[in-house]
Amino acid sequence: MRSLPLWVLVLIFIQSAGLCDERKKEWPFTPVQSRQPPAVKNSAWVSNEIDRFILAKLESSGLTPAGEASKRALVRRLYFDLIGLPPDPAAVEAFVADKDPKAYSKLVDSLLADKRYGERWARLWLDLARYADTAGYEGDPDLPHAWRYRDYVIDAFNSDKPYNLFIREQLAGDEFSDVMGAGDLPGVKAEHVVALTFLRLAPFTEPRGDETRHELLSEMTSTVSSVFLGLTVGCAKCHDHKYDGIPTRDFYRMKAFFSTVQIPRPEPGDGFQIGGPLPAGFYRPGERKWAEGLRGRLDSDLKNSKKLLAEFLEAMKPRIGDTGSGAAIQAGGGPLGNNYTFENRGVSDGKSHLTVLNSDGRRWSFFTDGKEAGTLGSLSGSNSGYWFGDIPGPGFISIGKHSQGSGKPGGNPYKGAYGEILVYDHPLADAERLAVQQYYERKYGGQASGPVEPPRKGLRYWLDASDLDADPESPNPAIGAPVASWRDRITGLELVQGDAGLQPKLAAMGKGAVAVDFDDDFMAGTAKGASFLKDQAGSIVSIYSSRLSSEGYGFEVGGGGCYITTAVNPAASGTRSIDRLIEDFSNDLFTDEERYRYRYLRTRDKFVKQHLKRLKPVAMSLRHSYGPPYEPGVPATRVMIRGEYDNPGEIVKPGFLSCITGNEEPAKIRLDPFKRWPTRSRRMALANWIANGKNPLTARVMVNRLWHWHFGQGIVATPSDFGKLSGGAVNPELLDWLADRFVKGRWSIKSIHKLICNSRTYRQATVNQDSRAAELDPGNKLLWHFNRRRLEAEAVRDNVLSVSGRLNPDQFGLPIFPPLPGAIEEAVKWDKSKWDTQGGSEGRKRSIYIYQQRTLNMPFLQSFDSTVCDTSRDQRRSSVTPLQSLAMYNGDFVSREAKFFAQRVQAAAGDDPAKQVEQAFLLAFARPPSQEEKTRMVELLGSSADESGKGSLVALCRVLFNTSEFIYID
Amino acid sequence: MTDHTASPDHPGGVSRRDFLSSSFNGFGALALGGALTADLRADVRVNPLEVRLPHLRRKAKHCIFMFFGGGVSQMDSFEYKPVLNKLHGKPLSRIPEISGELQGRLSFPHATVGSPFKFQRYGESGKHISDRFPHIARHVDDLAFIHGIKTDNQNHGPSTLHVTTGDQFPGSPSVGSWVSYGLGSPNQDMPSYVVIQDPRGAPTNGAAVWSNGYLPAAYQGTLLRPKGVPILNLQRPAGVSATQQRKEFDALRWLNRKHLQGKHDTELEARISAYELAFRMQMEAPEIVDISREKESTRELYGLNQGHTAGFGRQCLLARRLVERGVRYSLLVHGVQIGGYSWDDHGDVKGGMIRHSREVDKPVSGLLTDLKQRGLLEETLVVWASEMGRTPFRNGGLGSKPGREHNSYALCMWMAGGDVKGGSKAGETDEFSLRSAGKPIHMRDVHATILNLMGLDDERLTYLYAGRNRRLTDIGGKTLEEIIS
Repeated sequence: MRSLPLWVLVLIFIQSAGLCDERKKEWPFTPVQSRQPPAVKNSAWVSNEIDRFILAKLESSGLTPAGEASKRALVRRLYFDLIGLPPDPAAVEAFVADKDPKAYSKLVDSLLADKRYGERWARLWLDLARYADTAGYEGDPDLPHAWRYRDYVIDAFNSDKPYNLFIREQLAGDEFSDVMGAGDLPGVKAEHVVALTFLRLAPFTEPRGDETRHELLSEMTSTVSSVFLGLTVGCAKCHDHKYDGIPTRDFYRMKAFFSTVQIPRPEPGDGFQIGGPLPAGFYRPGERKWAEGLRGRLDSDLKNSKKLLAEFLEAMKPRIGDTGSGAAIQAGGGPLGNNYTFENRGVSDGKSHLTVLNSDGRRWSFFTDGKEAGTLGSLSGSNSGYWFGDIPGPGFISIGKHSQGSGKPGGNPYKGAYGEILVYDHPLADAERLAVQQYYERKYGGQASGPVEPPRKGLRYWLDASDLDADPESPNPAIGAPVASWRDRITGLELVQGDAGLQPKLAAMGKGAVAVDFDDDFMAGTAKGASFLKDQAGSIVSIYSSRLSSEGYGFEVGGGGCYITTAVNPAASGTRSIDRLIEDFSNDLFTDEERYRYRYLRTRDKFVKQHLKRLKPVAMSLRHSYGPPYEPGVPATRVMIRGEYDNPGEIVKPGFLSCITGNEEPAKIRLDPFKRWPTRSRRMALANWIANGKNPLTARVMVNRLWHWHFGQGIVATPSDFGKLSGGAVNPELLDWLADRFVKGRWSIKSIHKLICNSRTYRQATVNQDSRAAELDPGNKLLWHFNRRRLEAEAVRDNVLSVSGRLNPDQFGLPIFPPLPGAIEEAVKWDKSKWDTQGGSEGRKRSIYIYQQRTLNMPFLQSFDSTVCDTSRDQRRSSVTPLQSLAMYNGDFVSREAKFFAQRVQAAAGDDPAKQVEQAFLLAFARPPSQEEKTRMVELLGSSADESGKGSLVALCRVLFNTSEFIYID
Repeated sequence: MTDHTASPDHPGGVSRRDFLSSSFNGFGALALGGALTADLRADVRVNPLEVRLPHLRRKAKHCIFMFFGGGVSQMDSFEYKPVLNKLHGKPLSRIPEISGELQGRLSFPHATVGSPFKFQRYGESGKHISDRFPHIARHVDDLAFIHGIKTDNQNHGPSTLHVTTGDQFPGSPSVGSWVSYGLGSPNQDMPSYVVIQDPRGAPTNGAAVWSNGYLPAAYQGTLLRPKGVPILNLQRPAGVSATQQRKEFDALRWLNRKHLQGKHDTELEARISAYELAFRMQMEAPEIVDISREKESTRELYGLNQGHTAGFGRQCLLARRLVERGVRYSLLVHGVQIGGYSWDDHGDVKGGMIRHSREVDKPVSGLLTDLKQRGLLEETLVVWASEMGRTPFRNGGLGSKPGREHNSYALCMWMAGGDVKGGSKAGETDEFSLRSAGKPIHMRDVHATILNLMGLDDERLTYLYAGRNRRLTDIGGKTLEEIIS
């Protein structure tokens, strides 16, 4: 704007002032009026004022409300709506049997007083606050103290903290006390320090000076205005708002309230992009004691874990054989359904070695230095299946590096020399093995006697490093020269490496024998013509040497994800080897539980240290700059042209939105009497203006949010946008009446819940018999019936756990890490996973406590439309996808809980199928089955079969978890 | 307002209320070009993945978007800048008037790094390509290059998001989500949008790269797992036979139908069919991703038989199979966060480029060849993308193994297939490949072009969210007509 002539500026001013002319003020900028509920014809239907507003509209449209929902429907509705959990059967029956006319309102009161209420409603607020436990972007670093804000919000809802106070704490918790005299700033209540986390929850990446500060403060400005004012002020960051009267100047005038925000620098050792914490002692009742107790447990956990890890490794060792450096044989992948890996010491000794694999389906043996292992198969543990054969149409043969076909145990460097590979079409007899051994000893071991040729009977494949090109007419390449190909003596099959720069080199080895020196590459050939591969039985003999302990190489046959391989992998030593194998979910050596257990123990250090950090009495908070002479004073806020951080325009003063105030006067900021703290009181000025009964938006926006969450649709359809695109309020009089009541009722959120839940409007059935209604008002804007709604993602999970009887009711505290399916935390990992999987009851707390990792949304919750928030979110969607069905039906979580559900049913109902069905229905749906349903489900019980005896009951439970009724509320 | 625009009173999304609409008459009612009014509420979708008519007549029905994480060095791949070799070790001979990040870098000592690779002309177009991409080079006359693309931020996190979602801040839908939202999916037995990530790990930002952002969950990318069962939860619960499952599904359908009685609720109906879809997906999806029956010549073509190419080769081969089965959009990611598997060659650009390029050159070429010989390239848009470009210099001295820094002014991409004009190009960088020589091409122009090639108009593919009609291209992009035939 700097370059614009004065008259243009004047014109712009006139125009923008015109927008805000008091007389022309339009909804929603007009003051909230106290409305008289309208008269209605059918006053008998009315329970409270809400009903008058609703019924009046219905009557004028010629519609009648739906009848009252059944008591069973109502009790289930209230439970899920107010506490987000299902009623247990006893509570349902008690309510149904209660003839007290006040039974319903008593239930509303008791649920509002229930401490689980805060856990449901806080979740909805956390959506608005774009809550997460990580910063997002590169590395997605952990925000170790964010969880304290989550607990603050749960408390705020449970204690019915007045909404105006709730606002002021989150925006200016550090500016509550007046500063009258000299000395340092007064201390800030710990709870207020925590509340300020709200302003810091945006995703955050490596800071880049002014640009980052501009983006950070801009994000605060946009989020504060959409959350508390329902205005998408953020649109005006770059240009005047296209639809609403919010000029760019106003965006920057509002941003100026945040101009003295100061964020602590990160603590040493933390990612640079997460910022640091401020002191905030534990303040919740019992919290300090809890933290100390947990800290003690974590400390001993840390000590113990080393011992436990050692014990665990000892127990696992037999699975992989000797864990010293050595050689390995592996067969695995795809339909092979088996996977052998064993290793043996002593191959990094500079001597040559011999492996004989007898693949007769039962035995194999492994030799080093010509010495046979004690017994055949002795290193194979309990595995005695087929490690060879059954590869459907093997596609390739390779030597050197393991290809991606197996990938295992590749990944290590494998510099080394290969001697010879012999493949037989039959398991070698003892005599034959002896002959091979003698051949080997003579050729490579320097012994004078013994055969010069290996046994030829049944030899189907013979790769011999001493005759590399397999062409007797042509000489071998010189020592040190690249080897382009390696042809099999028997089949003529050829392994090649076309890239001259990557070819292995011929090396001298042993007693004058030649070998191939593999560096970072390998040779590969197609398996075409290699008939032995189709055999179910056969033997592979590998003769090889390694020279350096960090080397390894292999021979591999494979295709389609299955492979057999022999490998020398001396780098695999001790725990590193088991580490690799156990972290690799593609082999079957360990169960997933064992892998989780291992990872748990192995990574204890890291996770426990992070947990200990989480337990520090600090919060992810902010403060205002100290001001001169210690810290910067108040910087000038400028309009940034097109929103660009390096494109400054005119200077603006902090001021409230002109579309609300009707003017562009600077806000009055009340400094201390001596003006010692010029940086202070800015955010409080904004907070006080927002948290004011006279602000036309604050109360309207909040009661509309409450309405939206109760009815699944707001009086204004877009809860965070009251601008022109919102389409306005369906029932502006009702909205005003509620807003007025809200402000006059001490900004009590629970009082609004109470009004809404006790209304007849809320108690309507989901079905209205009047068929005209759907034609006249297909969107149910006038509320002629209650909207059936699907549970939100968190409630689906909590419902499953409640019904299975396994929900851990513990409240508050550190984030939880429930098991994830298919090791997906690995798939999206950064270095080591952040996800500290908790297989026990800790991981079965309510969903609000689940760690919110921005780069990893739990797939189960994601399929039900949850996302880990990056930006403020005002509503949940309700989509239907096959992936959701798969997660519910096949997923580990529901399958596991179905078994516990079945146990619970069995315990209560015994073995009588009819009673089982009844009990299961009561638990899942809060109602008994109809006769027809009972018959059909008993039939399912009778005809179902599962591996276990109780399978049929599990089948019923699985089916009930999957029904629409289970996750929809009527 | 268009057919893709949620009406103001229904701010987008497949909400319950939308399902109740009786004004919705299926997609037959939608005209090409969308002369539709807002109150038709075309965002109302009983089946969010039902096929929708495009805005424009375009050949491409599928898109394979290949993303190479870390920042591929353009002057070592597809931009021939011989002057850099002359200046090797010395500062740039001319410091252009420039602001922002590059200015910052150039104000420090720097040494020009010549490309260690030989360039040669290929094809009729005579385009120079480095010897690191001999296989891709053979397809040069089918490719259209875009040079000097400007991205908004030179850090890995934001830059990756900018290229994959159109916004450097997290929370926006990815390109694949927009395309799925715009066109639906021809194959209802598979997800519309499939992600095949590097088997070695995830890219920067993880799942945010294929996020549906504020679009409904149906448009999210589904991650194919590198091993085991390809899609999560495709396997029946342990101990449940196929017959048993069918029995349970029948009982479930019966209960759900009972529950539906007397209600007019299309969402509940959709749920019933979702279970049938899931049942079919269980059967079909594993077969689609089973490459074991591919011919040997095909495996060879994609480099499955060599260790270094087998990883990306498998990703490319899977992408072709997905195209054959009607999956709308595949995102292939090569490179893992930061480190040796990322194209982030600050040090030793020579060694790095040798390693990275040989992992992808043959597979990408194999994919193009295979698509072409099967007649699928006509209907498949293939995109090569990276995070950003790199600088022609290294800050500080050359060092023993010179590398290159980040450069958000010079991303180079190419496209092939569909209506892409082979052998054409858009944009050009200066003699140093420092930045665009002419008017810069912004990333949103590239996104607009991708949408255009998929038959979608970026100005009309909108979704009302948080007070604005959101678009992939934010303020709107300019389609690069010069690369469209």
